[in-house]
Amino acid sequence: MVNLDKLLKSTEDINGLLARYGVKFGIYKNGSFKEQLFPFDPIPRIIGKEEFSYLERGLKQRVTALNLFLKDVYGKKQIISDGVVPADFVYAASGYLAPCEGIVPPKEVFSHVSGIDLVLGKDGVWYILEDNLRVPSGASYPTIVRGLERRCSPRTFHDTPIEDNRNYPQLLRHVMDYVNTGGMNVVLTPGRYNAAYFEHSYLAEQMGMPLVTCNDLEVEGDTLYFTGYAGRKERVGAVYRRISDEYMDPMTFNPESLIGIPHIFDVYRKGNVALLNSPGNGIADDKGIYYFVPKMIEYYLHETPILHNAPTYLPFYEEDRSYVLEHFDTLVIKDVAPWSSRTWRRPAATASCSAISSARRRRSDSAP
Amino acid sequence: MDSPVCRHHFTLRCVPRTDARQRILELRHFLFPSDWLSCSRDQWGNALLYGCCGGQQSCFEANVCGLAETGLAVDTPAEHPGRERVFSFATPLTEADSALRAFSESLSLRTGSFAEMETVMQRVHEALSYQPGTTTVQTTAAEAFSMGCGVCQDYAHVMLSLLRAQGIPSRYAAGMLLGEGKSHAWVEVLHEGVWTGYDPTNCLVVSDQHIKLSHGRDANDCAINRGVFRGVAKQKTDISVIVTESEERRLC
Repeated sequence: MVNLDKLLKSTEDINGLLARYGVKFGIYKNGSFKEQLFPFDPIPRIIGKEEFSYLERGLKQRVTALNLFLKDVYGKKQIISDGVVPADFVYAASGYLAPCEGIVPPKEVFSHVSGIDLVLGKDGVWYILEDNLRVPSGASYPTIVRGLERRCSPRTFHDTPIEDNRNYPQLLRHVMDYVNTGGMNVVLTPGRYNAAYFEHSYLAEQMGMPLVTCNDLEVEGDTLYFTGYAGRKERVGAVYRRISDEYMDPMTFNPESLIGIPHIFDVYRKGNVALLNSPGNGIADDKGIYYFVPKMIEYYLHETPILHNAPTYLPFYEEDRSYVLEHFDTLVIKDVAPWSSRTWRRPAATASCSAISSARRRRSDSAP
Repeated sequence: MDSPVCRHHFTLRCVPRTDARQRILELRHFLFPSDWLSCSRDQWGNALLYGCCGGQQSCFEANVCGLAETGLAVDTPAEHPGRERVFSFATPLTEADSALRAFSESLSLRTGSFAEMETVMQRVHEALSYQPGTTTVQTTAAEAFSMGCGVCQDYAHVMLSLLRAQGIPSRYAAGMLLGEGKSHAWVEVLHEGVWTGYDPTNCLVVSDQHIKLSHGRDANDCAINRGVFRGVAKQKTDISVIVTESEERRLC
């Protein structure tokens, strides 16, 4: 039994410390930017060792398959020619970024940090809700809170064997060193008006590397440089960038971007810098592609998926379409139309059931 | 620019490459001003010439000249046959609206054969009238089609939209035409493993008078000049293309 007495009594202290450290997240509301404290809840969700390692195995398997999918889909496209994933779901998806065609990132790693959303169903089964492979955020909050908890209530952690999570920044730095192409590591933030700015600064501090904005980085020829306070240029080999693909390089992506670094994508294409996560990952965490992840695991790894998707129906396929039309009122309908992302949540929806409508050209065919 | 700017970064797609149809025998380029220059290839294999000028400037000039041998073949074989399906999907600029979809259906395309494509090219040529200044680089195929006018970019986008509505793989090609004028654009269609060029603006099958600079899904993939700078200047871009037949050719 976990001894929580002291921890429960320390709730206010911990919330006070979180306020002092500025553990905040930003919210844009009615056009103005507000920062809010992250409220701390001392009641833990306990996951037993056995269940934890089951989840760990399942997540590793899933992320490995997703990484292989990304390499394939921007490369040989075997999974499309073998008919496992229809071409429509790749090329018409907003997450597919054509400029990434043919690029293999350093050490063949696409998704260095993956945020996989899990939900525990009423049936006691864990389901995958969605994958986040672009710019996942949130890892710093449990890390910093754990440190405070241990200070306020050392007994709880002394008496109970609890897996430590405070090595997250070290693990991340290790990954950065592994993919680094030569040069220093930096954390790139869009700036202090980003919702997760606290996290950017915290991780940079913990990993012992500079927190930079677009003004600190510059491309010259085929190399990315960091200019320090003294004006000295230093080569950059890995960028943990907390800025989305679209805004990263105005020369290749959104030309309106003021927070990007011109030509950084050209340096990346030549293999002279590692970007974490790699650009183009949006195709693998797309709502339509989600349906195919269990098939990917079988296709690339020849294994049975350990973790299951929430039951999902794709009206692209005849049999799924009739199920969706019959159970329309009890399903969560998500639109996978290109160039838009709308989700309609019906009041009667259940958490463990979702359907994905295949929009695009075929939408008119699927209407009854 | 009407006032000085700084930190000008540019990417140019103005260098033709050797392929089955054309061979580049000589190539010189002159870009001014720039602190550094580099070259690369984009995802479709187009040559990129890019660089930056950090200091102040109010004018940027890029000159590319060379000697190309054209008409070596009519078609270009597909380089990665398995990877060309991306070109059968519409992009925001080539997305068909109901009018374009109805037009596309009325053409009753079956195979994407040469004869069918000649018909499509002719129908596009008839559906639009050439009127410079009526459209911009942002104009979509659907907008140009409903106005019934445009320039070579719009002709190409309308044709791409019609073909892609039927799932026929087709791509945008930017290039130059014999004579003096602006840059040009046409369409390439994939059929039985080879790309064939059709020029709906002139209602011509692409011949030895066309020199290709780049290709892609639409005009966005083939922008001859793309750049960012710091400053509040208004800018004006002039593109001038001169293609003449060389002495050697005339002697042959």
